[in-house]
Amino acid sequence: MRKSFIFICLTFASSASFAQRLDHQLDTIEVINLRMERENPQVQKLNKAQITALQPEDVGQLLQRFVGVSLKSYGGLGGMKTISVRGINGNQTGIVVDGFSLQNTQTGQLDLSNIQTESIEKITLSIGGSQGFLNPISALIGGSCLSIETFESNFGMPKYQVRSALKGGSFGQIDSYLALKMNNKRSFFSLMGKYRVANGKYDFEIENGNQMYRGKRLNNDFKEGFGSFSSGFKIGKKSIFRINHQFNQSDKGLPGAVILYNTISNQRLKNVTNQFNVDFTRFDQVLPFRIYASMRNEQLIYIDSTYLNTAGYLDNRYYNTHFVNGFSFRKLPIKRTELDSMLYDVEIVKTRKLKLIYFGGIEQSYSLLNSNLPAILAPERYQLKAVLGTEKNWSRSNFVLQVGEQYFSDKQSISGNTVNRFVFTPNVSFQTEKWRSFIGGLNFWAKRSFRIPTFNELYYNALGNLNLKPEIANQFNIGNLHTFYIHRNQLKFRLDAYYNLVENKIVAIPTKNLFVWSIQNVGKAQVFGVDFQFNHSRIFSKLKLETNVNYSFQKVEDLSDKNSPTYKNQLPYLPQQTLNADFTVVYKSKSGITISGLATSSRYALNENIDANKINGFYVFDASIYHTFKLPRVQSLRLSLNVKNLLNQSYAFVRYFVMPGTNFLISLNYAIH
Amino acid sequence: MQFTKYILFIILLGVIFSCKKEHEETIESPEILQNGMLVLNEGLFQLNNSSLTWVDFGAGTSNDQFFTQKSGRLLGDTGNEMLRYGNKIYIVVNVSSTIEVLDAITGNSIKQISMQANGNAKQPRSIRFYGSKAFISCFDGFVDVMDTATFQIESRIPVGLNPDQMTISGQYLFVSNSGGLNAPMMDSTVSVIDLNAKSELTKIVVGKNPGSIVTDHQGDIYVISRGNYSTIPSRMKKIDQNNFTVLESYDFDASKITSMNNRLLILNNNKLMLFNADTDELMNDDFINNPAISTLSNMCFRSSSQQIYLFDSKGYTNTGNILKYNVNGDFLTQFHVGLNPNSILIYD
Repeated sequence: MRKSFIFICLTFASSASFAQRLDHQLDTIEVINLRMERENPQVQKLNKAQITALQPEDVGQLLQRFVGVSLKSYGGLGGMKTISVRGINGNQTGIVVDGFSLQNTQTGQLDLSNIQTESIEKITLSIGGSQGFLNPISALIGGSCLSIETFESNFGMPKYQVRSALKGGSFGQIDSYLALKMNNKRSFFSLMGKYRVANGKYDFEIENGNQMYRGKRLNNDFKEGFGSFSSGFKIGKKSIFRINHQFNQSDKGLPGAVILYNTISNQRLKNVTNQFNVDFTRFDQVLPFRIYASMRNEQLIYIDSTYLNTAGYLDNRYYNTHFVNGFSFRKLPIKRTELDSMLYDVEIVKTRKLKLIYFGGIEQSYSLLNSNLPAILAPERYQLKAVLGTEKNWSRSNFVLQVGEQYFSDKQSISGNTVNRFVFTPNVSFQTEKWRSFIGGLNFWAKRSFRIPTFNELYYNALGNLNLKPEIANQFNIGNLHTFYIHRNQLKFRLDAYYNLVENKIVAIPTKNLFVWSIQNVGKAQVFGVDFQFNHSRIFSKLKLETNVNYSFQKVEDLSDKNSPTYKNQLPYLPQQTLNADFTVVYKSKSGITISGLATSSRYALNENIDANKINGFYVFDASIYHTFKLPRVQSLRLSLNVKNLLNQSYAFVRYFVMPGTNFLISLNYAIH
Repeated sequence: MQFTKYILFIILLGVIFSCKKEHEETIESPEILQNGMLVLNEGLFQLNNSSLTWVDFGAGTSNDQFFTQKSGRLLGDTGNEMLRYGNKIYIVVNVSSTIEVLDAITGNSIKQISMQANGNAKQPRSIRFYGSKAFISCFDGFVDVMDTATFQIESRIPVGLNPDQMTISGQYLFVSNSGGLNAPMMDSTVSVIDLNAKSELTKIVVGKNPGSIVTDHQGDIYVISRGNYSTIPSRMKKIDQNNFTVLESYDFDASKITSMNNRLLILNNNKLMLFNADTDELMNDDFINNPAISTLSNMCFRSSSQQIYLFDSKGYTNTGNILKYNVNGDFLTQFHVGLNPNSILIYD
């Protein structure tokens, strides 16, 4: 608390010296961009203003606002969060921050609670994979792509920019954030630091037969810090060079599931992650290209201080290192004057007119997992990914054809085992702006993507299986996008129907007995789904109203074994129906109020769709209100109050990982634009 | 006009995709337990879904809400064993770290005993009875002595690492110290406890990772040392009841044993083998081998009716079946039960 206080005081004190003059022209530029842009029906996005209104704890919480996403949240604050997009394994969703992908070869899953939200300028989810020029090749191959753009890693308009926040809330939450950025026409330089703590002790009650089981969530505290340094230079008139380092350290209690009659919990997880990125982008008339490289090092320490072994504790350490470098290009007609504003805007490159565009690239990576556990025999992995595609644009429609390839070769230095696989993936999409007058824009796309087995699946102890094949996902989508302008209302509809078929699904099955399991490609699943989005906005002279409604229906059927009692049952933790909606009123662009709600139908904790495995559906409402105070020059000060779980509902995404009741967060944000 | 058409189009699609709801029927639990079977379903770790199923032989129904209907609450997480002693049923709940005591006539809850020591869960694993005392193996390295009248833990007998299964022969309790949580350095001993003195007499080295342990009709002890599930195989050993020494190690895979008259039933790779405990010879390595059983996880022999019950856990993640056979291995009938059945009590 005291540290944070000093932090914010420093920010205020130094503000005067940052006085500067540039008017922010960002808004006007966005308008121009919108006009040039043809909306990509595969992309959903949230901008800075929307993120501010939602006041998310982490990226996981933001993703609830996207249609087609099923979030798995292991508790509130600091709890692990993973996603599944349209019923497909979360490992098929690539995560990209400022054009650099975050990858983990041990489990394949990234904990979304480890990505902080303060710096996010824009977050986009492209279902069916990204087609952006500045995204890495791995993001183009993936089943879908979550792309995040931050404040720190991109060129800005004015000379100095400062952003800071101080937050305090329920369960001992204290959060302080400071980011500084210096810009001139040819370079930028930024620094960011964030520190967050909470004791996480919240009361809960869950159904226990006909009674209520009440308790306090214990061992749910966390402290975590984030830091980043970024810099970029324009070289000549056409090239940009960026370098960036991101750091994250956390120490979290793992409360585990609520276990009836036993509240003892002594597990902790510590994490230190460092990622270094560098890229060079050239916006050439002949062949615009980007060269990128990253090094990511993740250290995980799992501690159980009362484990019943001889030592009396567990201290498992995992070190996952990942090197990647790649080259991507996109031959497209582009005017050089537009470069500045479209830098790192993923969608804009899709929109240019008429001509035939070629794109593609190649990426190689090397990963290594080390551990203090004898069961993990230091697996290494070399990967080579390549993509080649073409895009044809007509005045009202566009056609994209892409082929991808992924090769990996693994080696275990201790056991001497090697594994090699090659996969090939075609993908095609067609969009048209208007088909029949009342139906609006139509789009079709089909994509084949895969996830390669993780180190854990291939090698872990007796469990791993060296014969595993990649898990394949085939996605077929037909979509419709329609915008109406009625009086002063803008109404936007997006409707998608899809069918996904997942083959060679990697599942763990027992072999000889409960102790010996094997991971095999025996799973098969199909998904029938519908995504629906509705957006309404209306601007009055002083008021702006906006409503968003997302509804998603997905039938995710297990087709693994015709003779199994779970044949055609809904897969665990995927709700058939999800509805989320928010309503925002903004007054004079200064004050605003947002009410948002999320409703999820019941889910099953295990494959068998019986009452005993059922997790009740829930609905939960949040609200936030903010006011921006007038300050001289280009400064702004915003005070906001966020109330989560307004109705104090008892709910859980994952069975017995109960979420907090009503809780508050007060934030003070100061910025120099 | 266009807008109206479009809205109608959306609504039409909405109607097509609207779906229906299903519910399972609730069955009531009987007041007095008779002509049926009580089944303890272990459930799965961290899901608090251990349950009791009441199988009504007359009506042919299975009701997995039995415990909740009787006590108003849930059983907890990972029920490892259920035994009847006198007029009480004892259920050992491992992860919740409790012993549940029920009335054996009605199934009503009598007492829930919390098994914790110095702020840590003892993780009880199995229970045996001798006189007025219950002996409870706890994963924290002790066998607890509990008085069956007061339900007080009177003493804790230190044994090996992660004591697991137990069997009584004469005045001795044999405890397999699995050391499972210390993998790959598992324990390899069986502790011998003098039930009158309530203390450990000795430890017998039997082989890595001892688990299933039974006493045959002559009082000799058989234990399975489960090895390390890869290079060291799972083997059955015979222990001399008088000298506490290992008499023999048998050269076949075995994962669980139970005693049947003068025979042993041995579970091996989804099938049941028959072993002659008089001659110490394997009589039939394919005694019961039913392809309809997908995961043969446990078995039980009921001497009063001379029937064998086999537990099919269906991959450990789906609700299971219990199949009834006669002593010749002929299939009689089967019952659908809950998730991971591991103990049964039959009521005539």
